[in-house]
Amino acid sequence: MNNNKLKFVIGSLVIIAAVIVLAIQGMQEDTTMSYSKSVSEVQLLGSRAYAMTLKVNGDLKKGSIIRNNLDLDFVITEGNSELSIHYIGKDPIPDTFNNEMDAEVIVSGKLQKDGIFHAERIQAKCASKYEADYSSPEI
Amino acid sequence: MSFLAYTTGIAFLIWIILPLFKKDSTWVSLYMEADELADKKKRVYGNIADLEFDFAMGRLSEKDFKHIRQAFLSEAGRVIEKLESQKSSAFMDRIENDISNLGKKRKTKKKNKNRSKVFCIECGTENLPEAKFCMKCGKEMS
Amino acid sequence: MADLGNILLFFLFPVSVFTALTALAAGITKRRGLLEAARRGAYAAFAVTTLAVLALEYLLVTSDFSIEYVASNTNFALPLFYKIVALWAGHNGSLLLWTWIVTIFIAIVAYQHRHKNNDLMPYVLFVMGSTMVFFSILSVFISNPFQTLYQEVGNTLQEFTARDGHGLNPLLQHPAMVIHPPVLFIGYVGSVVPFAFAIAALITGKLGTEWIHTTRRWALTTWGFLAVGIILGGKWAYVELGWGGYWAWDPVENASLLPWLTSTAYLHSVMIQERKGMLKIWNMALVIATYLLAIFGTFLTRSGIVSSVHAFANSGLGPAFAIFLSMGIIFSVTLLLYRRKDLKPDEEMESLVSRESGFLFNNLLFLLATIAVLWGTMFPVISELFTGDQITVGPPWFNNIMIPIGLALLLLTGAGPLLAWRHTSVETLKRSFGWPILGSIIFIMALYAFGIHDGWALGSFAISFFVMWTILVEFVKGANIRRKNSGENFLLAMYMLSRKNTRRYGGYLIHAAMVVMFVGFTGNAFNSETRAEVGEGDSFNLGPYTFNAIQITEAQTENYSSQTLELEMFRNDRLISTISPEKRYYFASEQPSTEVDIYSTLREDIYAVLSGMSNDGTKVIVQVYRNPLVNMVWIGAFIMGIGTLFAMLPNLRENKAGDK
Repeated sequence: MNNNKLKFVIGSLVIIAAVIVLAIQGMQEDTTMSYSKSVSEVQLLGSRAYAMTLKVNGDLKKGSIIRNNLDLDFVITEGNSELSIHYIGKDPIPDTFNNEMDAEVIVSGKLQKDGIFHAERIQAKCASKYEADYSSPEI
Repeated sequence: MSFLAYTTGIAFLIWIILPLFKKDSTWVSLYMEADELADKKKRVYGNIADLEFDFAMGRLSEKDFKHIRQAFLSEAGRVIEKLESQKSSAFMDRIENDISNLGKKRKTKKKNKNRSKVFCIECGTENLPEAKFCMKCGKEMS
Repeated sequence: MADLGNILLFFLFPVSVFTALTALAAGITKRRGLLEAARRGAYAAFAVTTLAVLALEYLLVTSDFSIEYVASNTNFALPLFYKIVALWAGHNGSLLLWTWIVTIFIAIVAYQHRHKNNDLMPYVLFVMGSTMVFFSILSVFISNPFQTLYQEVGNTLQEFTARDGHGLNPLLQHPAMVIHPPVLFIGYVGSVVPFAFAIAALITGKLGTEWIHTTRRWALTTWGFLAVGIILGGKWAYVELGWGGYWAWDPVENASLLPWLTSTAYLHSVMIQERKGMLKIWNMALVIATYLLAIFGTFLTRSGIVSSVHAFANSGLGPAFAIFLSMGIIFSVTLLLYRRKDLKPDEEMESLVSRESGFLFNNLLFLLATIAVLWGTMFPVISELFTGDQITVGPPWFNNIMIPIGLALLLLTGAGPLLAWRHTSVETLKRSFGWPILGSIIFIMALYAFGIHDGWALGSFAISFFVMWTILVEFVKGANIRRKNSGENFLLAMYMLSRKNTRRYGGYLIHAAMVVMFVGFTGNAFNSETRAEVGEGDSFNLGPYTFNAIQITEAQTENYSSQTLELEMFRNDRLISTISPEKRYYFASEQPSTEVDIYSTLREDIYAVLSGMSNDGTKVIVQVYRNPLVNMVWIGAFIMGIGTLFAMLPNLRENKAGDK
């Protein structure tokens, strides 16, 4: 009986260990880990920022989107801080992303030495469009 | 319109609260141990059915099959034996319980009519609706 | 109508409290009158909520824009159908739907058990009633869908009616999105029933298999709904979000996967309890975990604690959910600890090579999968707590863990049923496994020769082949044995066999469905894509396909304006089809929306997205994905639904003497 229990415990431990190894191994690849920062926080990071994969959120600067063939450049802001983004990803750009809209943007990618952020992914969050702001009500 | 709504609402509320003012009976939890044994019995029977299926599907050697089956059969025997003795003692409890309830029941005779009656399919004896086993012959109630 | 809705909804709170309290009192005093009152309270809660839902529907359909919810989620031009389903398009309405489903379930349970389970029922109604109390507090006091619009005039607030509503979010204007939330909610909410029975069993000490038998069908049903709901969500993401995939390990997706993982584990481990009287604590824990994870999922979706693309904005429900969740955890864990002595196993494990050990490892893997997904999902919160940095782990991390776990589970799916309960000897093992293993080795050698060299994919296909084989053998062998005994023809024998044990054969069908879905998942290893900027007359390639841009057209409807690119698709110079991805701009919501076009075959999907326009406006940017085997996922899901329905059929009984 006891021998049997031991076998189970060993079998289970092997499986658990394997999963833990996978989890740790996954954590070490820097492409899978991204640090969430705001625009101003990125600037505070200084040179440390180049080594990390970052997920930066900020507001899209109106009118800053420039498209050139398949290239896309734009600027996101937070208060007085600005960050220039160059899109190098492959996925289509989200619907909410265009020059006319107030959009909160999350870009994931890496900051380059020249201060331009190379984004692999762009997520746009619709600003509080659905919450307030009912124009010209009738009273 | 709103008058109608309020009246319906109030009537509804009364309907909900009404059972609170009934003075009638409490229920008794019966046969806890018998339940457990019935569980065991069901389990052994299920196990035997599975074992035979597994053997027919060729997942067991004949030696294992015979060996395990024998073990199950004797387990089933033990369980049924216990179940029988449990049943007769539970039966005595039931009688005690009925006698002590006799006085109360007379007072609430009228209400008893509403209670659904359950009959044993084996011997036809009337049982309490929550009974798991017939109080006369011990057959499992469905 | 809004006032009526408000009053109805307001009544829900006292009625829920009444139900929970009388049920609890009934449990303590065992008085029939109290139990009956609790039962009627449950019916009343259902009636009141149903009327409130109808009132909200009336407001939505008649476009009463003095109500904030109606104005935020619909507009005049919205088709009637979408006005109706806007009930669950926004946060407040979907919360009302949640609450409604809770009341439906409590009413059903109260009615089903009106003559039986007197010992358990008071506590069942108490637990479900408490859930109802919680959700009624949310819908009435925090997220009331009947809230009117206000604006400041001078120093006072005045009600007003908006001229037109903001309209339904274009992303939600899709059939899959219409049924996905209710189906998923039923799956989420349904977990409360087994939970309530488990808690009732713990309180009363009636810890046998009675509560399991009572809730078996509920557990299976809600499991099925959860599965279908998750897949519908994936389907919606695939056809609507336009990034060419159906699963991204987004927190909201993970939140729905978590209770599914634990309830799948439960559906398996419960068989060990039925056969061997083991794992009693574990099964309780799984049922409890499933319910708490369902609540946690709702919390995650609505609290804004982790950022997600499809989460509702921070709705102020976070603290309420956190309190309810921690109360649930403390309550259940305390009860479990209190009863731990009564939950001792009746038997011990006998052999490492046995059916029950297969189930045990299956459960271990499901547990690890649950922990991994939970860990990954909550990692931004965990890491912020310990390092101060919010760190998100991406899809590669999840894939790295979940692909091996998934394949191991799939392998068990094939191996488990071949093992006998208690003990399987080596020679029978060889007999059962020899041919399937040989077959799958030959199969992947053929695939390798055919040009598939991806290691994971080959492994996955090999396992799929192996599992499919073993399942087929189960059916065929079983039918043959029956045929020998009964003299029926083969098909009838197979039908009778499976009808006599629907749980076993329904389960096999679900296993087969999982195999089909895994084949679909494996297709992801071969995805390819291309992006091109094209004007009329331009062309580009993807694999063996050539695409010619025929024309770019513009159109307008009442609801939106649109731009469509027409592409001709050639394979080896033969015209196969035209596909027309589209971009829409919805007037009411002022939102653009991408309408993808998919050329779908069993073998692969060609998925085209119109992703934008060049600056000068003469050319458009188009993105084309080639996704092999995607359809297998949807087909597998369909088979899974059928398997679940089959497993829920009652077993056919035969009255032949000597029949087992």
